[in-house]
Amino acid sequence: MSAGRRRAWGGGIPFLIVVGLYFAVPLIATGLFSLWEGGSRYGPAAYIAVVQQAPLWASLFLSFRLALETILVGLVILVPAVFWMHLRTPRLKPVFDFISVLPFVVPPVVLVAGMTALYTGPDWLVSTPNYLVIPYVILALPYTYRALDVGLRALDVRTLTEAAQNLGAGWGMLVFRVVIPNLTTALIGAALLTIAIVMGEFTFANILLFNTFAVYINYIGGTAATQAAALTLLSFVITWLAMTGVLLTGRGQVQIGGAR
Amino acid sequence: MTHLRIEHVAKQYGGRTVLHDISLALPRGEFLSLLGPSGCGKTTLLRIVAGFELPDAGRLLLEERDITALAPRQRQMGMVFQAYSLFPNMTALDNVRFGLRVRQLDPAEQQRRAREMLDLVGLGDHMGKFPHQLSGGQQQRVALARALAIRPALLLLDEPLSALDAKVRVQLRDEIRRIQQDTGVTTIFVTHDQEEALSVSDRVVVMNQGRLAQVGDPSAIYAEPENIFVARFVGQAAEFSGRVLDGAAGIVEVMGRPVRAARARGLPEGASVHFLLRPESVRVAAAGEDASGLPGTVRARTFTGAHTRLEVGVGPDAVVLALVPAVEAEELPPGAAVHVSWAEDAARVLPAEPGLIGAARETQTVEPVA
Repeated sequence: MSAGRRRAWGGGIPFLIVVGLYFAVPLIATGLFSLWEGGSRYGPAAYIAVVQQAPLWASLFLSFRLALETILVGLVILVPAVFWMHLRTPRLKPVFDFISVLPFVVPPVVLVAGMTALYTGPDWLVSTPNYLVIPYVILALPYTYRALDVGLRALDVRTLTEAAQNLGAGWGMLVFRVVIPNLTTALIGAALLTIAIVMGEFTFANILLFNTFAVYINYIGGTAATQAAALTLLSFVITWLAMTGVLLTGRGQVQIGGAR
Repeated sequence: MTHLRIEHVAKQYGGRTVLHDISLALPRGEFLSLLGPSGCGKTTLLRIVAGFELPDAGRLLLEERDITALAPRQRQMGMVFQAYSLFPNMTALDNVRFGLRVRQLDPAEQQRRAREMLDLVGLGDHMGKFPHQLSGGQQQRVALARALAIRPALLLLDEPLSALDAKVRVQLRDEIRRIQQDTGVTTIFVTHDQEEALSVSDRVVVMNQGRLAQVGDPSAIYAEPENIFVARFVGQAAEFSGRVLDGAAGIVEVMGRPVRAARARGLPEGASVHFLLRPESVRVAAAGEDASGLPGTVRARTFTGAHTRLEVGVGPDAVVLALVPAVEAEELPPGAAVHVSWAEDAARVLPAEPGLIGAARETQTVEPVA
């Protein structure tokens, strides 16, 4: 290691320690609190109580199902749109970029108010948690769009499309045999980010009165504090697993079908 | 027999005409190069043949069948692109098999033909490798195998060598020619590199500003340029303004001196001409040994191996380049007074005013000789 790099590391270590403490202390405190059984007793009682609650599993499965539906709907809309943008209308990229960041500037409360005023539809959509998929697709849009954009930018979409067409392939063959297999890393990244967002989303579900995982954590927090702490750690683990997946696929440590 | 006929094809982009009324005919098995500077329309013409662009006017006939409106995938043409175009998620073998899978050939036949093609391009040992495991040259070979595997009616090569380094480029260029001759596939090769075009083609089409500047076999393109653009674009030449002194005897005034030029014969007296000398047809002798030609002074001497390149100043702003055997050049150091001369038929003489020879070529159909 060169002297310069040593110096850089020397300056970085205290900073890393401070940031590490900033993240670790609340988590350790939450962990300790989740193990508190009253007085000076510590044990897994809160965890045992949590896993024995049927409504918890129902809310967890609901959130997970909504995450999968969000991934599916989001990708079905965005893969063709972003692919087409790269292939035929690259000049519209600034417009796409702008639209993709709109969810950051419109507060969820405004979004949900607008949504309930605007969207009507069949009962299976508006009267069930499926309704949440609509705002969730919007919430996940910046991440899904960016992941796909980066993935497609790494490919020479136009040349690959022309090569496939020149060899006789139609659009179906092109999309399913060439484009999607080369976007696996981007698609996995988009999917894992969506899972992380949906599993932790509270505002929409709470306002629209659906009992998702985040809403359930909030409810438990009002009734059994140590169990809420245990659930919080559990949701952290889910998010972290998703993020680790994103990092691993993004760095190319997981090699998919030979495509980097 | 004509295999592909391009008839009066024209193309505009946003009001700018990139192809003006192009007509060409390719016999079966021909290797034709489209040569020209950037923006001359050569790639647009190739993309129209491939079906990626539609012409605004004109039509394309393949074996006398009109294919102008056919989608690229219906044209049965194999194309190798300038950019690396292998599918990154597939091995070399699967890339070559792709077009055969689209055609739903029997899997055993797909496998056999793909292997045969990879052997043909010398990559039989790399079938299982992914594109990122192959060098640029190897990737373009796989792309060539992939284009040939579908047994194309036409092989289209869009500057396939331009991303490769010089040594690989020459190697692959020669290999493309060998494979083309082995398979007999009619080929259109787009390049801006004159050496590439001249060394592999049966015929070369020089293009300029969306028009055909000249069509001919490589030696004719080099030795008999029909207009000043081709003369300047292909090879090196010293160029002078001149005036025909005697059309019957072939005498032209250059740098204020009468010089002999067989190719000036038949031109009207007093006509302004471009007078061109290729470096290899110029002889340089110490002053006094040879009184013909033009007097000058050696300005620079560059050793290039077997030959030495001499820059001879024959006027304040006029330089003649000469390639002379290295041994002779030893006697001609910079500063030496010399005479440059040439064989009477070696100098090219082209009329300066258009209309004297070979005018309006761009609208004529250029038929192959065979």
